[in-house]
Amino acid sequence: MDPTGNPNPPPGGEANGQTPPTREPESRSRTPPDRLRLRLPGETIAPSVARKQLRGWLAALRWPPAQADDILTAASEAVSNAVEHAYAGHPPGPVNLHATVETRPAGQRRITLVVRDEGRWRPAPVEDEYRRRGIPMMRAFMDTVTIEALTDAEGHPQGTRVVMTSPLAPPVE
Amino acid sequence: MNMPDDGNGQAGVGPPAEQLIAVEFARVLGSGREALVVTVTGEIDLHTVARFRAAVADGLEQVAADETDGLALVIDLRDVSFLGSPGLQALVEVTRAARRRREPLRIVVNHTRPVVRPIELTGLDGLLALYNTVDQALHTGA
Repeated sequence: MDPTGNPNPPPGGEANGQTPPTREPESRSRTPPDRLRLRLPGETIAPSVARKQLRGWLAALRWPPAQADDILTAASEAVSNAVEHAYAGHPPGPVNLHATVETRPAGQRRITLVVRDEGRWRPAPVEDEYRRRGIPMMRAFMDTVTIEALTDAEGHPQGTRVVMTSPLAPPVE
Repeated sequence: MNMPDDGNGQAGVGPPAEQLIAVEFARVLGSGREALVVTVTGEIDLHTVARFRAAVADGLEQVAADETDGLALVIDLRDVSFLGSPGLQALVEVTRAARRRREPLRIVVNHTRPVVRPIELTGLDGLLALYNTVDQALHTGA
């Protein structure tokens, strides 16, 4: 039991009452939640909090460890990018991470990760090498990666959404 | 090119980087060749990269200032449990800085997947001087 799991629990959790980010350790007999919702501060600690929470959730789902590592890394890169956006000249905004598991008829499973910030879309500057490296990492570790610049009806920037799906994992024995 | 700040003034939220990453310096003599070994333990990500970057820059300064002939800088990453793109970028930067200054730099990674996989998947195994053990890193000629 590590108390550093979520240093910044969102006040009152998500407005719509979804699974809060900090979960009690679950007994093995219970079905793990089919989704994980995190609202992270737009701070440099966010990627590590996201990895820790995802690691616990994927372990509860009995995800193959090597595949779980890849999902954690992809999530971490997406959250890092979002934090970097939020930092650029504005007060840091929240970064939302939403993970769901989907089971195919044959029992194979797949994770979908959605990472959303409320910052401004800005293309990676040419000298920003590591951001240019982060996105290829996400693509290498996940099956599909989509990055969308969100706008409101008048075309004002509303943040960025990254949607990634994992490779299929074998059915739970 | 764009050297970020060293993170000394980084306030931020959450546990300080020092709790998530540890760095140790040691002088090692291996088969006639001496090295300054910087051993890193923990996670290298957005939160801890400033500390990592400062440590390897410090190591490079020490090696450059040292009179010992052929003293090498070795960065030992075998106890690193996570390596994200900020850490990859720091490795690329210190590699370039060492080349500019003609100081030998070697990076030790074993087959720990969380470290080797990001390096290979981004093609950086062609750029970084990678070895499996500190001993191997010291056996290689300049």
